[in-house]
Amino acid sequence: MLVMSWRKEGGFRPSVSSRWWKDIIHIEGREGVSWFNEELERRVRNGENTKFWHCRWQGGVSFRVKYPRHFSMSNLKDATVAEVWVLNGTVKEWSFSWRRPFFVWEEQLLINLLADLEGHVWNEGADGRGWKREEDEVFSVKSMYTKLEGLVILENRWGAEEQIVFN
Amino acid sequence: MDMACTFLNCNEGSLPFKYLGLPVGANPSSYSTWEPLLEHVSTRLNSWGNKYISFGGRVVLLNSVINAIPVFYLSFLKMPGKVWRKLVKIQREFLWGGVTGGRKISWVKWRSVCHPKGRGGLGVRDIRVVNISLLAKWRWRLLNGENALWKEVLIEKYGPNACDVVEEGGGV
Repeated sequence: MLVMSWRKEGGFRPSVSSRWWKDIIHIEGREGVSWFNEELERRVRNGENTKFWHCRWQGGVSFRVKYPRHFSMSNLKDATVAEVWVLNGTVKEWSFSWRRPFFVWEEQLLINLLADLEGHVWNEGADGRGWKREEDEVFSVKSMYTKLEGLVILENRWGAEEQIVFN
Repeated sequence: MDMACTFLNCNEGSLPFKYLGLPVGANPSSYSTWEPLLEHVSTRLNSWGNKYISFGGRVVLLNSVINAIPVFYLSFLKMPGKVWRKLVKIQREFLWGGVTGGRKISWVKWRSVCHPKGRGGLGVRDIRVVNISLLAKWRWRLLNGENALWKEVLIEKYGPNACDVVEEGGGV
């Protein structure tokens, strides 16, 4: 019922967001230290939910940011990891589709990219996210508290940091 | 609406109302939403039963009271700064003055009291940090797939990648 009535009212991006939603979205503050996201790590399993270029799933930045040139040359900008990593005979291979052949210096960058992808394994199950602060990778309020405590209480650095957390 | 009410034999309600102990539709940034909570904490701390508790006992009590009463509110609503100051004031006066109240000297600043015991504090939890930590859990639950109705409602309202917006700071 609820779902239906909202849909009728004109779809996505309502002009009025609920206060709660805004608080959750902007909990980190609008800029600065991402004290929540930096503890998250994408766990790519079957790769169907992870965008190859856009998501941060290998290392700290997305491949779009790390290899902008290759991103701009790719024909599959919105492809998921599963779509790019395809079965070729018996082995899985990365199959990109490029707009044009590479120049020599770009070849080297591609080798770097492939090196980054080395050792990627396919796993059963949907992609998810892991919480770095716990061994079982599940978020806990306690670990979050400990981190924020370090950030705003212990360091005696209120002011700037305080602004970030409590905006 | 009146007709529907008579037909269904029920009363017309209005926002905000309380559901499962939480105010629904109330504005979390307004002070009045939080008043019952402040009241509750203050009466619990200042009841006569706590009159002869030692300083150490008061520290324990502080933690158990803030862990118990406001956590329900704090796990859902973001506390405005004014409420935080007020809560800390209640806690501080209880810690240093005891139940008899009145203004006593606070010998150590509140932030130091909130340091963990291993770092020279009393291990009292800073309630604002508790609040933010609890809210962070919502983010986690948004990002980590369980298919719940509340998430479907959010997705219908804020768009299909509502859950991912939370990550990567807005842009995918």
